[in-house]
Formats: sequence, structure tokens, C-alpha cells
Amino acid sequence: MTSAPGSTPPGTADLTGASFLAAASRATGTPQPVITALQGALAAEEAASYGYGVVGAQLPQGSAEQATATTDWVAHMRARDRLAALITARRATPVPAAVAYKLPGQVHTPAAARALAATLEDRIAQAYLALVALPDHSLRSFGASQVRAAALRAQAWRGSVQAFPGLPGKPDALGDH
Amino acid sequence: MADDRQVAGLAAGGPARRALLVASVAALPALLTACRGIQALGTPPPPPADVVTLRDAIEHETALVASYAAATASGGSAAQGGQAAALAAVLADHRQHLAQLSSRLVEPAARSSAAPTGAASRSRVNMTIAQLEHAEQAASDRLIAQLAGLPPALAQLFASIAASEATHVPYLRAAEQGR
Repeated sequence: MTSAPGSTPPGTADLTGASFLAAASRATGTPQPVITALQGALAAEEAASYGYGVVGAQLPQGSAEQATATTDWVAHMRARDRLAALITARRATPVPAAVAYKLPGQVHTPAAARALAATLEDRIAQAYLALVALPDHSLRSFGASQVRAAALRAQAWRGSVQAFPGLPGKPDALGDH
Repeated sequence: MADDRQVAGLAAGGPARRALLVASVAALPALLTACRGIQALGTPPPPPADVVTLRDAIEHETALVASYAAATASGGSAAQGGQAAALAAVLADHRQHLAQLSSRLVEPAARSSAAPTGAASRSRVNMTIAQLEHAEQAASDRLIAQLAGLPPALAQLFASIAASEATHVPYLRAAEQGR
């Protein structure tokens, strides 16, 4: 399992911010909505793959939660590979993962690890909603399935439900409960 | 007119939810998909497919709200302790879903004030937790199956609501099991 970086060296991306999505758009060199959406989802999956390493390291060794973190990590690795294949099939180059990612805060406890996992899934859901906006039906369906899968993982980690997974913004009336 | 309800479509790309709502009103004149003006002659054409889909989603969401409102109000064995809190939380979600869906459909006052029809009137309001879980999964699957052809922002809303409703299943199950 990977430990959290303490600083922000070159090649480090903000794990939960929007910067890696913007970087993904620039990296394609092709302002094509499909490629941009796929690259954004790929960047989010790469960030999640890194983040789950941090999550797993902070959960009790051998616990059911750590096993769940491993399962979720594998799901993100597979999604990452699928996205990379979709991008390559469109003659674009998959955006590379950052060397490291800046965490949203200190992750030294199981509670912080669970919160990080839920945040990662929120960002994953948000990234896949960009695929849902595309006219291509297969990509739209894939995106919707991934939004749902991310929301289910987030619910499991957070223990609460959200009215609008993946839609950005947290007005008071639309928060968690 | 039967056809002057309209879907308020929105731009793609996942704008902030508050902006979505504002945009749905501000951009309405440019985004009307069904306004046909005065029907001079002949039978009015059927409403566009996305209007039909949205109206269907609103009816199903209305039915879910009614079911959860009944479950939370019953005070029976199905709504004790943590379960009652879970039911209230899920009801709050569905009310937000219904509000968001309804905001995307512009209808004449006479129609919008009419009694609900279809799924809403057929809803079973006395459902067990297991039946509610089944209804949630079915609602989630239905929304995802209806994505084709929807305007981008409406598709995103459907996908998000579908995800939310899917999470209600394990959430209710956990509450039922006292976790």
C-alpha cells in the first residue's frame, strides 16, 4: 500500500480536485467531447487507484473493511484499463497517471480512510456523468452504470445516502443525511 | 393544448446543481423542444419522446414519495427506530428527485394542477421494506434504461437519480438489520 505524500512535488496532482480533469483535457490535444470525457474518467480512476492504496493502508489489517477496499481498488484498476482501451481505440493516447496525488487531508485513522474512500467515489461518479452527457448510447450506458457503482461504494463507505450522486455542488438542501 | 409541455434541456458537462436549476429557467426560450404554437387544424401530434419519458419518471417518483410518506407516517412495525430514520432519509431523497424532475417539465397550469395519473395513482402505499427495496432497484434500472435520446443534462439527472435510488437498497437493508 502506498503512503500519502507529504508535499506537492512536480508530477503530483490534486487527488480530489478538478485539476487532474483539466490536465486530462489538455493532454489529449483533441478538443473532442468524447475523448475529453473518457480522459476525465480515466484520470479519476487513476486517482482512485492511488487513493485506495492509502485507504487500505489505514484500515485494520485483515479486516472486512480492508478486504472491501481491496475489492474496490481492483474494480477501479479494471475500469482504468477499460477506459484506456476505449481511448486507444479512438486513436488517442490515454492520459498518464500522476506520479503522486495530493490528499485532501491527513489520513492516519480508519475513519479518515473511510471518508477518503467516499470522497474518491464521489469524484468518480462526477467524472462518469460526463460520459452520460454524450450522445453515444453505449458510452452513456457505461457512464450511468459506473455512476451507480461509485454511488453504491460511496454509500457503503459513508453509511449514508445522497440525493444526487455525482452532481457537483453541495447546497444545504441537497447535502448528505 | 396537449403538447405544450416542454422539456427544459441543459448543457452537458456537469455544471453545478444550483446552476442547473437556474439554467433550466434562464435558457428555457432557446431550449424548448415541444412548443408547437397554436394548433390550427387536425389532431395535435404526440408529445416528443423525451417529454413522455420525463412525465413517466415524474409519475414513478411521485408514487415512490407516496409510498415512503405512507411508510413513515404509519408508525407501524416497519418504521421503528433506525428504520424510521432511514425511511425519512430516503423520503427526503425522493422528494428532491421529484422536485428536480418536475422542474424540467413545463406544463400549462390546468394540466399541472390536475390529479396525478398512471403510476402515481396505481402506487401501492402500504409496502413492506422488502417491497420498497424492490421498487428502488426497479426505479433505478428503469431510469438507466430510459437514457437513450434524452437531452444531455436530463440524462445526467436521470443517471444521478438512478444511482441514488440504487443506494437506497443497501441503506434500507442495513437499517432493517440494525446496522
